[in-house]
Amino acid sequence: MNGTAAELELHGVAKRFPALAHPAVDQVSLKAHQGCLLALLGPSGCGKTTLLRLIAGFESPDEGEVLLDGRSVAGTGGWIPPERRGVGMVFQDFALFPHLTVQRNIAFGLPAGDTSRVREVIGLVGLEAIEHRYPHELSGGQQQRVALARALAPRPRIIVMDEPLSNLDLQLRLHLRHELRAILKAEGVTAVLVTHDQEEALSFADEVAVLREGRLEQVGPPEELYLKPATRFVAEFVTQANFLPARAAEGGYDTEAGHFPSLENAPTESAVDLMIRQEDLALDLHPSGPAVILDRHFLGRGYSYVIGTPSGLRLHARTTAATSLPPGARVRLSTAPERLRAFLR
Amino acid sequence: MTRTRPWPAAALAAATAITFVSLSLPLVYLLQRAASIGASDLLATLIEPANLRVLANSALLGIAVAAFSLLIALPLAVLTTRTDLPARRIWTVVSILPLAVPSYAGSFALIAAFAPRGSYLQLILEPLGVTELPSIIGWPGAIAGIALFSYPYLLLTLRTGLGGIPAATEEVARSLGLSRRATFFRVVLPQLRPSLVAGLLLVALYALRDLGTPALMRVDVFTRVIYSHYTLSFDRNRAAALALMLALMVMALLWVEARTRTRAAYFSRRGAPGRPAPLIALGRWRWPAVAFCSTVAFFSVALPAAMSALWVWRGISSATLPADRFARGLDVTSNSLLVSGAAAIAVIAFALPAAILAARAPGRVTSAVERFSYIAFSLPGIVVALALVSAGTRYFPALYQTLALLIFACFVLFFPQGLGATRSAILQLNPQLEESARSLGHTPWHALREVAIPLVRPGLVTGGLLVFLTAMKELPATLMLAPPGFDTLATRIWKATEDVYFAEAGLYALAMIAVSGPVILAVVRRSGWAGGEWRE
Repeated sequence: MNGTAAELELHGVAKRFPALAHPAVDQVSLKAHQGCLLALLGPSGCGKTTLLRLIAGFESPDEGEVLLDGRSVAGTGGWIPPERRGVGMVFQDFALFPHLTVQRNIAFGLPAGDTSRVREVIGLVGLEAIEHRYPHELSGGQQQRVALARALAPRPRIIVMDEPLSNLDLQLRLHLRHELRAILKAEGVTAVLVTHDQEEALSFADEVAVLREGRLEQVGPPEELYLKPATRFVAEFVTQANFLPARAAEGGYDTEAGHFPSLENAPTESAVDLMIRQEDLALDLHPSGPAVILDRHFLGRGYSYVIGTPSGLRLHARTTAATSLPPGARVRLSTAPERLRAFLR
Repeated sequence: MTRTRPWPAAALAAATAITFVSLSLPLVYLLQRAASIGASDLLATLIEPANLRVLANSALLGIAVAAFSLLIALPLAVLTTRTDLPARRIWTVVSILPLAVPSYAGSFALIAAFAPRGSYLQLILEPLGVTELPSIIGWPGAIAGIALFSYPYLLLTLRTGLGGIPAATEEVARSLGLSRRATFFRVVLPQLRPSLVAGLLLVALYALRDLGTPALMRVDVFTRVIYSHYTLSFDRNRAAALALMLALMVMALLWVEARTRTRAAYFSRRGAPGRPAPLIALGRWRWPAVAFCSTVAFFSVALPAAMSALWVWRGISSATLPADRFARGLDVTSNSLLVSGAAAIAVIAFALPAAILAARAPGRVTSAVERFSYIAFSLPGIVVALALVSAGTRYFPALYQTLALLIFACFVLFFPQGLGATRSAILQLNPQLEESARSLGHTPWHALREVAIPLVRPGLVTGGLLVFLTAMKELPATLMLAPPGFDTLATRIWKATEDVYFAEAGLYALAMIAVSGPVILAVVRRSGWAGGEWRE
């Protein structure tokens, strides 16, 4: 950003496993600056965990280079083993040492006798009352905090987390997501979080990198990914939008569900998939409308609609509670021109 | 969640009650005998210097065997589970095979190979002027003769323990700055401690209960002394007092084991440890590692088999092993199969109701049976045999020296082993499966028969095979309780080694290995190469 070396840099990193047809990680280049929270997002098997293990030093890359604070730790510049990388790690199942108390788990990576730092991180994650318990005596949320405190204690330059919240129930997950972000920001540590949950990635991270079959699809701030997905895969995975087959026409796109004006200029007559986010789809009651309401669910803060097109395609829409349309009603569909995106087929 | 008695509890409870009474017989005898001796006489016997020396010898033997087994088993466990040892799978099987060799047969092979005069090693070295080797008879022989053939019990618990350590805990330690070596000592070993303690205990118990090797190696431990009192002087009171001492010693060991478990969790939170730990590349250490494995295999597998074969061959070529011995060998083998098979079936048939009750209707009675079976477990074969001989002659003369009483002794001795395997199979079964069956209109019996038992059958078979294997090798109870003229492989090997009739001992040892070897392989395969519930 401002000329200083990035905390974490990957240059064309690739990793193959014999059992896998495509490379687990394929030519990935990434950067994360000091204090940045980076999320690696993708479906299972996309290579995000392998990438994390390459950074931590539990796998070595077949190609490319991994740099921490400008220093090569894997690749052409040699090899630094995990214990000398200063990369803290938090696992999905926390991997707490079952034979040690909370306090001794946290002190594990510190020089013997450094009790002040232990005290400090115990305070940071709020574990004061339970520091003498053993891992099996803790709830899932407490175990998660211990794992985080243990990784933070030796003041790593960077901390990597493999699905750290996915073993917790939904309520706790939402709560800890914000707490985790606040703790990491307070420590000023650079963090990489692996997740398959797009909502978690978008709300937690400063930067999100979307991976698919080992390749980097797009990297950018959450808003950019959501508003300007670079590929159809990113659009589908990150925004869960509708895709409507369309043909480029004068000033917009023609579809079976009507004409959608657009600001984009696709080559005329080219076949595209039109991306319409659920919250962008406006529904207007009209007796000769091309689409029909099939089903609706009341969500409290609004409605979720299922809409059928003439060809039988199903679209999803979300509206405020003010728009109440009965199933069976015919509707016309529209969106704001600037919200529309088209992907060439 | 309240559970109304969903089980045909009466039938299960009746079966469990029979087990309870059976298991309590030897203990009742022992206590009754102790009471009849009288407190002051008993105390005097207990602190007699000769008896205290036997106590010290037994303790020393247990500790030495456990220590020697550790030197063999820990490297083997790490090499076969965590490294890229060449032909790792083959070494895995070979390292468990010594379980097929009864310690008395293995010890006989050691003596045949390394005895001071006339052994193979001495004959080989004779041209070099070696007329006498340092004696193997005594402590070195006793320690090696037990450890070489019982270390697999420790190995199997260590393998299971290593498999249960999540790879992620080791990776976290590395990411916190520990080297691979430091990680092993600070993270792997502490998590392995419960398996280590349990395995060492198994081996030490084996050493305390073993009769054959101490007798062959002439070390005066409890089993040997009790047996000679029984056969030579028939001093019942003295034998009973010694048996009581041995039982107390074994119980003390079990108590220590229970105490060593601290508050720290000795279970992985989700059971399955997930991703296996990556293999350690041995690099230039691979050939020393192979040499180590080969050395262990040489002494514990190859030597007993080769020695037995050699003696048989020498017996045939010198016509001291007449052909009718082979026909007799078949008879004796089928006797062994009969006793061991019957014991295995009886144990599993009664372990199943007890295990179902313990898992599905936990209560005071069922947990008492379970705890009791482990107290019975502490009674060595020679003690149980002594009790049954005594009770048989006095109360059930019709049963004394019948096959039924021998099978009953094996049942009492090996019930805990069968219960362990059966219980772990039942505990892995989700009770909701049976509840689903019942909600679909099946009776409890039907749910049990159609859902539960088919699912636990693999565990039952494994448990049965283990009992079969141990019963095959059992010596003291068989010696003391077999009907006159009824010989098993174990008793024939024993008598042949006592008579220094090596050719015949070799023949029966080969038959024993031929039967036990495939059973071991079956158990190893069934328990997924990692060992399930192995206890003796």
